[in-house]
Amino acid sequence: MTGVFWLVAALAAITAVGVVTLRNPVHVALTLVLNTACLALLYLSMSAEFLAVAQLLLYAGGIMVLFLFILTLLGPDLEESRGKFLGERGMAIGLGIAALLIIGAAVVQATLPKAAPKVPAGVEAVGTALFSGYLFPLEVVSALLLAATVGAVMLSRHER
Amino acid sequence: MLPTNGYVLLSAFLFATGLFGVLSRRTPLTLFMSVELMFNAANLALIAYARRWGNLEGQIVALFIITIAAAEVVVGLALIVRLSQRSSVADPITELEKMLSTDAYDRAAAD
Repeated sequence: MTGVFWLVAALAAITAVGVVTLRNPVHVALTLVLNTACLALLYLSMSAEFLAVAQLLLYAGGIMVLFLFILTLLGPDLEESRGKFLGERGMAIGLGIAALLIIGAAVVQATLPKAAPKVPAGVEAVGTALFSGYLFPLEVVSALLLAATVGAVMLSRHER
Repeated sequence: MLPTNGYVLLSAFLFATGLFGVLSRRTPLTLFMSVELMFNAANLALIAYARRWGNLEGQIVALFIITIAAAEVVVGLALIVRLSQRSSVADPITELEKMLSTDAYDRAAAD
């Protein structure tokens, strides 16, 4: 089990590096799909089955298909060009490493409860919590989705 | 049970990688994909800590984050398509650099 975890975690890290370094946008999108699948496996290993399925359906099935649609719409000439300033890339690497160090230090120093309590696991527990204590946020999110849909239709409509 | 710190450190790595992508990418589409990477990293940390504390709030917040990421991508991609109909937006940052440098050039010529 631990070996599988490290394997999947390494694959997730490698695909993440691929997402930010590959030049061809189609390759980037496909690596991001792989990365999403790795994360879904990790969610499964934490017995968050509902989140794993939602991740696969929404990210790999919905969002990434949308990205690939837009890629075919905009054409293949979207190759990444190198920055004119040499310092730009170096600054990005420096800030990335700084963020990693800060978050890593916070994680290592954090005090966690000694023994992990029993998790109310399963899709049923998530559904019950979602529709009892979190009903109002759920409705607000549905309104947000409706607003985003209407906004996207308005934005992509042709002007006359 | 696998260690929580392993998951959260992986999440920190993914977040830092996504941050590097956001800062170094120049086309809007790949920039967006780096943002998605950062969203995923936040979700991983939330779920890992939710398991460690033994309640479901982290999972529910992660579900909301996934939904909001979907909404954000829909609006963002609509904006990208709209911009690309208007002008060549394959590399907006280089376009901006060109504009700024010609502006500086014009001002230098005027002086």
